[in-house]
Amino acid sequence: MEVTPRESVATGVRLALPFAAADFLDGVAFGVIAAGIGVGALRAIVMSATAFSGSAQFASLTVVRDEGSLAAVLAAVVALNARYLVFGASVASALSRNPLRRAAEAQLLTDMSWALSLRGDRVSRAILVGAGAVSLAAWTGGTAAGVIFGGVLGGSRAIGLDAALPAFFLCLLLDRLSSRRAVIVAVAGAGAAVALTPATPAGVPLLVVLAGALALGSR
Amino acid sequence: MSWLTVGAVAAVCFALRVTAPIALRERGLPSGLERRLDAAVPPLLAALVAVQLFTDRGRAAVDSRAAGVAAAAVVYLARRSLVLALTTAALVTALVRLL
Repeated sequence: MEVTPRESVATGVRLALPFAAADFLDGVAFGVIAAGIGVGALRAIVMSATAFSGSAQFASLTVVRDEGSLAAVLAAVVALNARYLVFGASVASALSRNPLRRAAEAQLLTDMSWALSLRGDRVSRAILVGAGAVSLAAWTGGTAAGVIFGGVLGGSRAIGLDAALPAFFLCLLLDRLSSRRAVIVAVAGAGAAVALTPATPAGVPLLVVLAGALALGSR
Repeated sequence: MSWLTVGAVAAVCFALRVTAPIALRERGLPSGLERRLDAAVPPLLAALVAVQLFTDRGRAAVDSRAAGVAAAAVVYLARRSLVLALTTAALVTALVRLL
């Protein structure tokens, strides 16, 4: 059956809702920490709406708190988010033709929206947009709640919601373990990432795994 | 944090997201590279899970979410329901933290 784009955007929204709660609470955590080190409320909220990257933003806070340079902030952001180059390449053929629309759709790429858009036989632009928009709203809204209400709100830890994201990635992985080779490569990737973590800055282990897997190819 | 930092971080994140889609237009990737990318997804997903569950601030450590995520995997393999699996992950993790 042919699925209309409108229905698929709604599908993306629906698929993303379980993660939106976690995104919101992560956003709250970012807002609370940002306010705690003296980042203005408006700056924190604008950062979430524009950078839209938890890993990059938490890393920025860490460097700024340690009085690191702007160059150090940006180096961390590039290392943590270089995978978006690959995500962008893998969805490129599915995005709109208009360059402005392409750019806007690419801006909604997150680990979660990218992974959800790949669930079907081919990449779904509508699911990417629906899931990414929900995530952006939850992340930015959570940041606003965090900087405004500060310590009044609790974290996602108490109700275990922070376990949803790794569980989600593991379920997607289980869908793709169709061959013995895929299992071996996945286990090797996980082991390499953990082994590299103590020796490298955050984000680098994922890059090394990605580069190694690409070099290895699909024999 | 200055407005310059806020703007620069946003610009870098935006550039990393749009570079490939704009450079590649609607051509997409050469099929050989696309197969390689496809083969790279399982190890990348496995690495994302492992870094979250088995490291903490740059050191090897078992996270309190590991039991919940393992339970979610069992539920997912049995029922293939994402919602059920993620709910299991949250509940088991919360229980482990109560112990």
